[in-house]
Amino acid sequence: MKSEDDNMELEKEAPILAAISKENTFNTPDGYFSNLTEQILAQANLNELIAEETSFNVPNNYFENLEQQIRSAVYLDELKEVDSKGHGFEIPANYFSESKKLIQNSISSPNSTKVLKLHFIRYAAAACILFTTTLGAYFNVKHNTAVAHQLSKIPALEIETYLNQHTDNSDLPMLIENIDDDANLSIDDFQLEKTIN
Amino acid sequence: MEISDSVILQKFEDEKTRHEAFSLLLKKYQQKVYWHIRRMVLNHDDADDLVQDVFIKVWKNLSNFRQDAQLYTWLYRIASNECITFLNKKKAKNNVSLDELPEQLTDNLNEENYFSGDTIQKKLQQALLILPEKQKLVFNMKYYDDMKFQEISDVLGTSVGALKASYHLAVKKIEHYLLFTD
Repeated sequence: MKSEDDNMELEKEAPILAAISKENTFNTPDGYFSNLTEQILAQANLNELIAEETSFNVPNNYFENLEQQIRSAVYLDELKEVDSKGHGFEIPANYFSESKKLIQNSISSPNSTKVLKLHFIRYAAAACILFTTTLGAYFNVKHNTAVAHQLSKIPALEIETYLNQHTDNSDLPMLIENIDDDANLSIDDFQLEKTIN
Repeated sequence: MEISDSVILQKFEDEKTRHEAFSLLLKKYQQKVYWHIRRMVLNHDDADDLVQDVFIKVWKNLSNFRQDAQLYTWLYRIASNECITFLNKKKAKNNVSLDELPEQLTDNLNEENYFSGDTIQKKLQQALLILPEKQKLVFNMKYYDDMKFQEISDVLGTSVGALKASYHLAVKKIEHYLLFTD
Protein backbone atom coordinates (compact mmCIF):
# COMPACT_ATOMS: atom_id res chain seq x y z
CA MET A 1 0.00 0.00 0.00
CA LYS A 2 2.77 2.27 0.99
CA SER A 3 4.64 1.36 -2.21
CA GLU A 4 1.61 2.18 -4.34
CA ASP A 5 1.31 5.54 -2.66
CA ASP A 6 4.95 6.22 -3.39
CA ASN A 7 4.46 5.28 -7.04
CA MET A 8 1.47 7.60 -7.37
CA GLU A 9 3.40 10.38 -5.82
CA LEU A 10 6.30 9.66 -8.19
CA GLU A 11 3.99 9.75 -11.22
CA LYS A 12 2.77 13.19 -10.15
CA GLU A 13 6.17 14.54 -9.29
CA ALA A 14 8.26 12.93 -12.08
CA PRO A 15 6.14 11.36 -14.82
CA ILE A 16 9.05 10.59 -17.14
CA LEU A 17 10.98 8.83 -14.40
CA ALA A 18 7.90 6.91 -13.30
CA ALA A 19 7.44 5.67 -16.85
CA ILE A 20 10.87 4.05 -17.00
CA SER A 21 11.00 0.36 -16.27
CA LYS A 22 12.80 -0.59 -13.07
CA GLU A 23 14.14 -3.79 -14.51
CA ASN A 24 17.83 -4.45 -14.04
CA THR A 25 19.75 -3.34 -17.11
CA PHE A 26 23.23 -4.31 -15.84
CA ASN A 27 24.74 -7.60 -16.85
CA THR A 28 27.12 -9.94 -15.08
CA PRO A 29 29.34 -12.69 -16.50
CA ASP A 30 27.66 -16.05 -16.95
CA GLY A 31 27.44 -18.06 -13.74
CA TYR A 32 28.82 -15.20 -11.72
CA PHE A 33 26.58 -15.57 -8.69
CA SER A 34 26.90 -19.34 -8.61
CA ASN A 35 30.66 -18.93 -8.16
CA LEU A 36 30.51 -15.85 -5.96
CA THR A 37 29.59 -17.76 -2.80
CA GLU A 38 32.51 -20.16 -3.27
CA GLN A 39 34.90 -17.30 -3.98
CA ILE A 40 33.93 -15.36 -0.88
CA LEU A 41 34.02 -18.49 1.32
CA ALA A 42 37.47 -19.34 0.01
CA GLN A 43 38.68 -15.82 0.65
CA ALA A 44 37.16 -15.81 4.15
CA ASN A 45 38.95 -19.09 4.95
CA LEU A 46 42.19 -17.67 3.58
CA ASN A 47 41.84 -14.57 5.72
CA GLU A 48 41.14 -16.74 8.72
CA LEU A 49 44.30 -18.77 8.07
CA ILE A 50 46.38 -15.63 7.65
CA ALA A 51 44.95 -14.24 10.88
CA GLU A 52 45.84 -17.47 12.69
CA GLU A 53 49.38 -17.46 11.33
CA THR A 54 49.98 -13.89 12.35
CA SER A 55 48.43 -14.27 15.79
CA PHE A 56 51.76 -14.93 17.55
CA ASN A 57 52.03 -14.60 21.28
CA VAL A 58 54.89 -13.09 23.21
CA PRO A 59 55.81 -13.62 26.87
CA ASN A 60 54.41 -11.27 29.46
CA ASN A 61 56.21 -7.90 29.64
CA TYR A 62 58.31 -8.91 26.63
CA PHE A 63 58.35 -5.50 24.99
CA GLU A 64 58.92 -3.74 28.34
CA ASN A 65 62.17 -5.69 28.79
CA LEU A 66 63.15 -5.84 25.13
CA GLU A 67 64.97 -2.51 25.08
CA GLN A 68 67.07 -3.40 28.12
CA GLN A 69 67.91 -6.81 26.64
CA ILE A 70 69.04 -5.30 23.37
CA ARG A 71 71.16 -2.68 25.16
CA SER A 72 72.83 -5.42 27.24
CA ALA A 73 73.49 -7.53 24.16
CA VAL A 74 75.06 -4.56 22.35
CA TYR A 75 77.23 -3.76 25.39
CA LEU A 76 78.42 -7.37 25.66
CA ASP A 77 79.22 -7.42 21.98
CA GLU A 78 81.32 -4.28 22.35
CA LEU A 79 83.18 -5.85 25.27
CA LYS A 80 83.91 -8.97 23.24
CA GLU A 81 85.23 -6.85 20.40
CA VAL A 82 87.60 -4.99 22.76
CA ASP A 83 88.74 -8.30 24.28
CA SER A 84 89.54 -9.76 20.86
CA LYS A 85 91.73 -6.72 20.16
CA GLY A 86 93.84 -7.28 23.31
CA HIS A 87 91.91 -5.58 26.12
CA GLY A 88 91.99 -2.27 24.32
CA PHE A 89 95.84 -1.90 24.37
CA GLU A 90 97.70 -1.53 21.15
CA ILE A 91 101.01 -3.19 20.31
CA PRO A 92 103.53 -2.43 17.58
CA ALA A 93 103.08 -4.13 14.27
CA ASN A 94 104.53 -7.69 14.08
CA TYR A 95 105.36 -7.54 17.77
CA PHE A 96 104.68 -11.19 18.53
CA SER A 97 106.32 -12.48 15.36
CA GLU A 98 109.54 -10.57 16.08
CA SER A 99 109.63 -10.96 19.85
CA LYS A 100 110.81 -14.56 19.60
CA LYS A 101 113.82 -13.52 17.52
CA LEU A 102 114.64 -10.68 19.89
CA ILE A 103 114.60 -12.99 22.90
CA GLN A 104 116.75 -15.58 21.14
CA ASN A 105 119.27 -12.93 20.11
CA SER A 106 119.53 -11.59 23.64
CA ILE A 107 120.22 -15.11 24.94
CA SER A 108 122.89 -15.93 22.33
CA SER A 109 124.94 -12.75 23.08
CA PRO A 110 125.06 -12.41 26.88
CA ASN A 111 126.06 -9.13 28.47
CA SER A 112 129.86 -9.19 29.24
CA THR A 113 129.50 -6.58 31.99
CA LYS A 114 127.42 -8.94 34.01
CA VAL A 115 130.07 -11.69 33.69
CA LEU A 116 132.81 -9.38 34.94
CA LYS A 117 130.72 -8.36 37.87
CA LEU A 118 130.18 -12.01 38.76
CA HIS A 119 133.99 -12.68 38.75
CA PHE A 120 134.67 -9.60 40.90
CA ILE A 121 132.16 -10.75 43.49
CA ARG A 122 133.75 -14.13 43.61
CA TYR A 123 137.25 -12.68 44.06
CA ALA A 124 136.03 -10.15 46.59
CA ALA A 125 134.36 -12.88 48.63
CA ALA A 126 137.48 -15.01 48.53
CA ALA A 127 139.66 -12.04 49.58
CA CYS A 128 137.34 -11.27 52.46
CA ILE A 129 137.50 -14.84 53.69
CA LEU A 130 141.31 -14.91 53.34
CA PHE A 131 141.65 -11.55 55.08
CA THR A 132 139.42 -12.61 57.95
CA THR A 133 141.23 -15.91 58.36
CA THR A 134 144.63 -14.23 58.30
CA LEU A 135 143.54 -11.58 60.77
CA GLY A 136 142.17 -14.22 63.10
CA ALA A 137 145.32 -16.28 62.88
CA TYR A 138 147.47 -13.23 63.47
CA PHE A 139 145.61 -12.18 66.62
CA ASN A 140 145.62 -15.74 67.90
CA VAL A 141 149.39 -16.11 67.48
CA LYS A 142 149.96 -12.68 68.89
CA HIS A 143 147.81 -13.46 71.88
CA ASN A 144 149.61 -16.71 72.55
CA THR A 145 152.96 -15.00 72.17
CA ALA A 146 151.87 -12.29 74.52
CA VAL A 147 150.96 -14.84 77.22
CA ALA A 148 154.32 -16.59 76.86
CA HIS A 149 156.03 -13.22 76.81
CA GLN A 150 154.29 -12.11 79.98
CA LEU A 151 155.07 -15.40 81.67
CA SER A 152 158.71 -15.05 80.74
CA LYS A 153 158.82 -11.77 82.55
CA ILE A 154 157.79 -13.42 85.83
CA PRO A 155 160.84 -14.43 87.88
CA ALA A 156 161.36 -18.11 88.33
CA LEU A 157 161.41 -17.73 92.08
CA GLU A 158 157.91 -16.28 92.09
CA ILE A 159 156.68 -19.08 89.94
CA GLU A 160 158.31 -21.60 92.17
CA THR A 161 156.77 -19.95 95.25
CA TYR A 162 153.40 -19.88 93.59
CA LEU A 163 153.57 -23.45 92.64
CA ASN A 164 154.72 -24.49 96.10
CA GLN A 165 151.77 -22.73 97.60
CA HIS A 166 149.03 -23.64 95.16
CA THR A 167 149.97 -26.89 93.53
CA ASP A 168 148.83 -30.33 94.67
CA ASN A 169 149.51 -33.80 93.35
CA SER A 170 146.84 -33.71 90.77
CA ASP A 171 148.65 -30.90 88.95
CA LEU A 172 151.78 -32.87 88.42
CA PRO A 173 150.91 -34.60 85.14
CA MET A 174 149.93 -31.28 83.63
CA LEU A 175 153.18 -29.68 84.74
CA ILE A 176 155.17 -32.51 83.24
CA GLU A 177 153.41 -32.18 79.95
CA ASN A 178 154.19 -28.44 79.79
CA ILE A 179 157.84 -28.73 80.50
CA ASP A 180 159.77 -27.54 77.52
CA ASP A 181 162.62 -29.74 76.66
CA ASP A 182 164.61 -26.84 75.34
CA ALA A 183 164.09 -24.77 78.45
CA ASN A 184 166.78 -24.33 80.94
CA LEU A 185 164.47 -25.44 83.58
CA SER A 186 165.78 -28.53 85.36
CA ILE A 187 164.58 -30.27 88.36
CA ASP A 188 166.61 -32.66 90.39
CA ASP A 189 165.30 -35.64 92.29
CA PHE A 190 165.40 -33.77 95.58
CA GLN A 191 163.27 -31.01 94.29
CA LEU A 192 160.92 -33.44 92.60
CA GLU A 193 160.58 -35.48 95.77
CA LYS A 194 160.03 -32.30 97.74
CA THR A 195 157.40 -31.11 95.28
CA ILE A 196 155.57 -34.42 95.32
CA ASN A 197 155.62 -34.58 99.09
CA MET B 1 11.83 -21.13 1.76
CA GLU B 2 14.12 -18.33 2.76
CA ILE B 3 15.99 -18.89 6.00
CA SER B 4 15.51 -16.23 8.67
CA ASP B 5 18.26 -13.90 9.88
CA SER B 6 17.88 -15.11 13.46
CA VAL B 7 18.63 -18.70 12.43
CA ILE B 8 21.69 -17.57 10.49
CA LEU B 9 22.97 -15.59 13.47
CA GLN B 10 22.28 -18.45 15.84
CA LYS B 11 24.24 -20.86 13.67
CA PHE B 12 27.05 -18.36 13.35
CA GLU B 13 27.49 -18.21 17.14
CA ASP B 14 28.28 -21.93 17.21
CA GLU B 15 31.84 -22.65 16.10
CA LYS B 16 30.78 -25.91 14.44
CA THR B 17 28.09 -24.34 12.26
CA ARG B 18 29.77 -20.99 11.65
CA HIS B 19 30.83 -21.73 8.07
CA GLU B 20 27.39 -23.11 7.26
CA ALA B 21 25.76 -19.96 8.63
CA PHE B 22 28.02 -17.73 6.58
CA SER B 23 27.27 -19.73 3.47
CA LEU B 24 23.53 -19.27 4.11
CA LEU B 25 24.05 -15.54 4.65
CA LEU B 26 25.92 -15.27 1.36
CA LYS B 27 23.25 -17.07 -0.57
CA LYS B 28 20.55 -14.86 0.93
CA TYR B 29 22.22 -11.46 0.56
CA GLN B 30 25.06 -11.58 -1.95
CA GLN B 31 22.93 -10.52 -4.94
CA LYS B 32 21.24 -7.65 -3.08
CA VAL B 33 24.59 -6.37 -1.85
CA TYR B 34 26.17 -6.81 -5.28
CA TRP B 35 23.45 -4.80 -7.09
CA HIS B 36 23.53 -2.11 -4.44
CA ILE B 37 27.24 -1.73 -5.09
CA ARG B 38 27.01 -2.11 -8.84
CA ARG B 39 24.51 0.73 -9.17
CA MET B 40 26.96 2.95 -7.36
CA VAL B 41 30.20 2.05 -9.18
CA LEU B 42 28.62 0.79 -12.45
CA ASN B 43 31.68 -1.30 -13.36
CA HIS B 44 31.36 -5.04 -12.75
CA ASP B 45 34.99 -5.68 -11.83
CA ASP B 46 34.94 -2.91 -9.26
CA ALA B 47 31.66 -4.22 -7.89
CA ASP B 48 33.09 -7.73 -7.73
CA ASP B 49 36.09 -6.57 -5.69
CA LEU B 50 33.91 -4.52 -3.39
CA VAL B 51 31.33 -7.21 -2.74
CA GLN B 52 34.10 -9.58 -1.69
CA ASP B 53 35.61 -6.95 0.59
CA VAL B 54 32.20 -6.32 2.13
CA PHE B 55 31.57 -9.96 2.94
CA ILE B 56 35.07 -10.45 4.32
CA LYS B 57 34.31 -7.61 6.73
CA VAL B 58 31.00 -9.26 7.52
CA TRP B 59 32.79 -12.55 8.26
CA LYS B 60 35.23 -10.83 10.60
CA ASN B 61 32.67 -8.71 12.41
CA LEU B 62 29.46 -10.68 12.41
CA SER B 63 30.21 -12.03 15.90
CA ASN B 64 30.08 -8.39 17.14
CA PHE B 65 26.79 -7.67 15.36
CA ARG B 66 24.15 -6.45 17.80
CA GLN B 67 20.75 -7.84 16.96
CA ASP B 68 18.96 -4.60 17.83
CA ALA B 69 19.40 -3.72 14.12
CA GLN B 70 18.29 -5.78 11.14
CA LEU B 71 20.97 -7.81 9.45
CA TYR B 72 20.37 -6.52 5.94
CA THR B 73 20.48 -2.84 7.01
CA TRP B 74 23.85 -3.63 8.66
CA LEU B 75 25.01 -5.23 5.41
CA TYR B 76 23.84 -2.25 3.38
CA ARG B 77 25.64 0.12 5.73
CA ILE B 78 28.94 -1.70 5.23
CA ALA B 79 28.40 -1.84 1.48
CA SER B 80 27.48 1.86 1.27
CA ASN B 81 30.57 2.88 3.23
CA GLU B 82 32.76 0.72 1.02
CA CYS B 83 31.27 2.33 -2.09
CA ILE B 84 31.86 5.88 -0.87
CA THR B 85 35.40 5.03 0.19
CA PHE B 86 36.09 3.42 -3.19
CA LEU B 87 34.73 6.35 -5.18
CA ASN B 88 36.72 8.85 -3.13
CA LYS B 89 39.89 6.82 -3.68
CA LYS B 90 39.14 6.63 -7.38
CA LYS B 91 38.83 10.38 -7.57
CA ALA B 92 42.10 10.87 -5.73
CA LYS B 93 43.90 8.19 -7.74
CA ASN B 94 42.82 9.50 -11.13
CA ASN B 95 43.15 13.10 -9.96
CA VAL B 96 39.70 13.98 -11.31
CA SER B 97 37.20 16.46 -9.98
CA LEU B 98 33.66 15.70 -8.90
CA ASP B 99 32.46 16.95 -12.28
CA GLU B 100 34.82 14.74 -14.25
CA LEU B 101 34.10 11.50 -12.40
CA PRO B 102 30.59 11.02 -13.90
CA GLU B 103 32.11 11.17 -17.38
CA GLN B 104 34.52 8.37 -16.51
CA LEU B 105 31.73 6.30 -14.97
CA THR B 106 29.54 6.86 -18.01
CA ASP B 107 32.09 4.98 -20.09
CA ASN B 108 31.06 1.84 -18.21
CA LEU B 109 27.54 2.22 -19.59
CA ASN B 110 28.88 2.05 -23.13
CA GLU B 111 30.22 -1.47 -22.68
CA GLU B 112 27.55 -3.70 -24.21
CA ASN B 113 28.73 -6.70 -22.24
CA TYR B 114 27.80 -5.07 -18.97
CA PHE B 115 24.85 -2.80 -19.82
CA SER B 116 21.87 -3.84 -21.90
CA GLY B 117 19.40 -1.05 -21.24
CA ASP B 118 17.70 1.03 -23.89
CA THR B 119 18.31 4.71 -24.53
CA ILE B 120 16.03 6.02 -21.79
CA GLN B 121 17.49 3.65 -19.24
CA LYS B 122 20.99 4.70 -20.19
CA LYS B 123 19.90 8.29 -19.85
CA LEU B 124 18.53 7.53 -16.38
CA GLN B 125 21.90 6.14 -15.34
CA GLN B 126 23.60 9.25 -16.69
CA ALA B 127 21.14 11.35 -14.71
CA LEU B 128 22.02 9.43 -11.55
CA LEU B 129 25.65 10.34 -12.05
CA ILE B 130 24.93 14.01 -11.49
CA LEU B 131 23.69 13.27 -7.97
CA PRO B 132 25.98 13.54 -4.98
CA GLU B 133 27.02 10.09 -3.79
CA LYS B 134 24.94 10.02 -0.64
CA GLN B 135 21.86 11.33 -2.48
CA LYS B 136 22.38 8.67 -5.09
CA LEU B 137 22.49 6.05 -2.34
CA VAL B 138 19.18 7.33 -0.99
CA PHE B 139 17.58 7.31 -4.41
CA ASN B 140 18.81 3.81 -5.27
CA MET B 141 17.59 2.28 -2.00
CA LYS B 142 14.20 3.93 -2.33
CA TYR B 143 13.63 3.65 -6.08
CA TYR B 144 15.21 0.26 -6.88
CA ASP B 145 15.18 -1.61 -3.55
CA ASP B 146 11.86 -0.11 -2.43
CA MET B 147 13.17 0.36 1.08
CA LYS B 148 11.31 2.39 3.70
CA PHE B 149 12.79 5.69 4.77
CA GLN B 150 13.23 4.33 8.28
CA GLU B 151 15.30 1.44 6.91
CA ILE B 152 17.37 3.83 4.82
CA SER B 153 17.80 5.91 7.96
CA ASP B 154 19.17 2.84 9.75
CA VAL B 155 21.64 2.30 6.93
CA LEU B 156 22.88 5.86 6.52
CA GLY B 157 22.35 7.19 10.05
CA THR B 158 20.37 10.16 8.68
CA SER B 159 16.99 11.29 9.92
CA VAL B 160 13.88 10.18 8.02
CA GLY B 161 12.89 13.80 7.30
CA ALA B 162 16.24 14.62 5.80
CA LEU B 163 16.11 11.47 3.72
CA LYS B 164 12.64 12.32 2.36
CA ALA B 165 13.81 15.76 1.37
CA SER B 166 16.93 14.34 -0.23
CA TYR B 167 14.94 11.77 -2.19
CA HIS B 168 12.42 14.25 -3.54
CA LEU B 169 15.22 16.59 -4.52
CA ALA B 170 16.94 13.73 -6.33
CA VAL B 171 13.74 12.85 -8.19
CA LYS B 172 13.35 16.46 -9.37
CA LYS B 173 16.95 16.61 -10.55
CA ILE B 174 16.55 13.38 -12.51
CA GLU B 175 13.27 14.42 -14.04
CA HIS B 176 14.82 17.71 -15.05
CA TYR B 177 17.78 15.90 -16.59
CA LEU B 178 15.49 13.52 -18.50
CA LEU B 179 13.43 16.41 -19.81
CA PHE B 180 16.09 18.88 -20.78
CA THR B 181 19.24 16.93 -21.57
CA ASP B 182 19.79 15.37 -24.97
